[in-house]
Amino acid sequence: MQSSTTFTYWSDRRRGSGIGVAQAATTLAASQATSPKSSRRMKVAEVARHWPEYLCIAPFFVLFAVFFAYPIAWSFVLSLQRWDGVTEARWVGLDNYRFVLNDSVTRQMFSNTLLYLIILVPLGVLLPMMFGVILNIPQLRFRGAFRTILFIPVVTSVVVIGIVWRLVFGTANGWLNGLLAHVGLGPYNWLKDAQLAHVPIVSLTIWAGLGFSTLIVLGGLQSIDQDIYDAAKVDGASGFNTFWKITLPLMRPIVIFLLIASTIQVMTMFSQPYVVTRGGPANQTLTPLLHIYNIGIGATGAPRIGDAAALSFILSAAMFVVVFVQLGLTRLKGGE
Amino acid sequence: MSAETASSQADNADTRLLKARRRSAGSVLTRVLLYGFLVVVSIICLAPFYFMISGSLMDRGEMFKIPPQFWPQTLIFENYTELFRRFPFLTYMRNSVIIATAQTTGVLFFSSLIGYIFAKRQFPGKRWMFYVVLITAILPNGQTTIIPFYLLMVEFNWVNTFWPLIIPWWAPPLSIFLMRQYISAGVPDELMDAARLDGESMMGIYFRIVLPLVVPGLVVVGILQFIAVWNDFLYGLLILKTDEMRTVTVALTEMSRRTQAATLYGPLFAGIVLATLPTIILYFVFQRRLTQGILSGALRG
Repeated sequence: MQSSTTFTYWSDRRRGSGIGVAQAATTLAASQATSPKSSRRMKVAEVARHWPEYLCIAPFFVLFAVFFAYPIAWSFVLSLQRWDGVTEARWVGLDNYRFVLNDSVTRQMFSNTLLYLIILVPLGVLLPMMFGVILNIPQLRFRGAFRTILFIPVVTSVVVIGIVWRLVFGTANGWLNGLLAHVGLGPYNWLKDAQLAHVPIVSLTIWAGLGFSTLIVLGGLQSIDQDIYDAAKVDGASGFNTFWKITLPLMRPIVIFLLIASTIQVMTMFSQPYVVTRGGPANQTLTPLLHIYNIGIGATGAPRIGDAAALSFILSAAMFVVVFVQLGLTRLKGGE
Repeated sequence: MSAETASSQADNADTRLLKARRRSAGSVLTRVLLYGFLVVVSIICLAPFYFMISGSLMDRGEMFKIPPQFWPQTLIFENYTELFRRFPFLTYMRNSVIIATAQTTGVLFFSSLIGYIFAKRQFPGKRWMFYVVLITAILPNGQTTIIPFYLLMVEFNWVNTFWPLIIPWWAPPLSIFLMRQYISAGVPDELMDAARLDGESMMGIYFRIVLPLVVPGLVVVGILQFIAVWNDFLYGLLILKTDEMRTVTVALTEMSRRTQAATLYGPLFAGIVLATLPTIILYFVFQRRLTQGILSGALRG
């Protein structure tokens, strides 16, 4: 009996999906009226009858569990061990956490990350908003061309463009210093100076990411109902007021999205420092992922898998917290 | 469609705004500043492409001249022949094509199938299962777990193979979400009911009704995926150990690290030009569909 219903469901000759829902609903309602034992059996039968659907969506859950959830759990186990990948692993409790939180290189990495968050997250929201609003002005000539040009960097590889960046910011024969020499500035030691080395990293990140965020903002701007603007105009609101009082509040979901996206982007920055500055000079541009890669793979000495896993776990936790705080912020303000 | 009407409405509102602004005194100056600013930004966006092309056509002496040259005095094309002579660049390109194609094909199949199930089928637990997909779309992706991911690949014996760059990425939550949106909007229930009456099974409907109707959505998701895989670097660096397995991005980065002595910068730049071309061409061919796809995706997200 049960297998035959499953079969008819799979081939689905007789009923439309709407009827199917109604049936499922009545089945469930009926099952709740009867004894708990038989209701559970009905539910199990209902689930069993739908095995084709579960089979089809299973790949998502399997891939997620194996390649993403399991490694996160494993990184916690690894973080409690000392292991170089070759010799026997040793349980060390929270020693790795204690070590990485006091390690001077890791501390430098944390302060770099904080600096990049302070610089890049506000810019990651403000610049796309500015370009989105400008490129949404319909009287703007060559609007399409400007949009196209702004988006081109998005389809390129950050790491490949980073190789070009190295030469642009090179010292003696760098193109940027060559340009600056024309106006009597420089030469600057962009890649070797502790402060200036942030310039190529930050500029490459903005250059590569601006187009996509701007397009998201444009999508948000175009979704705003125009009646609101008409009403504001009737009330005699100025352009500035319209933006501040109408556009910005309605764009809150987009702003939150940009906040989350640029925060995650900064916290997982890898290609820029890997290829442009290699984390130098003196670890001034070392980012979390590059640090994890270096110590975990053993690019600097023997692999320290425990330390890398501890850092991974701290970083994952930090990102969860940041994302949920930012999401909670939307929920809170949106509910008012 | 709706995005277009929205934009034309936006046009009307902004027209009035702009007309009002045009009457004000400083408008000419504002416009000059605005266009000047946009031109400068455009130049910054395009400058790296200028540098990579010009660098690929310079000979070594010119490239390291002080002060720097911005365009070669005599165009040379030896860098390109040198690139293919010294490096298995075609192999790198082939590897990138294989990985990007295999991953994109899988993503298109699984995200449209899973999107179809979530859009059109009813089954117990559907709501919370879809919530799980949405939450994983918001969560940061696997990058923080590169070390355990790598160790897992060691266990699988997958290091230095293409599998880790293909299979784990086959069901990205964002693509599932996008395909679900395309399918609920683009496949009428009446059509599916009719097919069901004709005796089509669930999979029959997927292959014969759903897939043909969501081709535009598949193109957008597919192109974005292909570009993302082509440009991926971190996982390639992690997994691909020997030279003949490397993708273009990993190979070029390794080349740039090895060419500290500045001897191979010409071929390196030729490689950069060739590695950048495919995605730029894809972008220009599918530009309107892509931007429209992202724009409408933004409305839903």
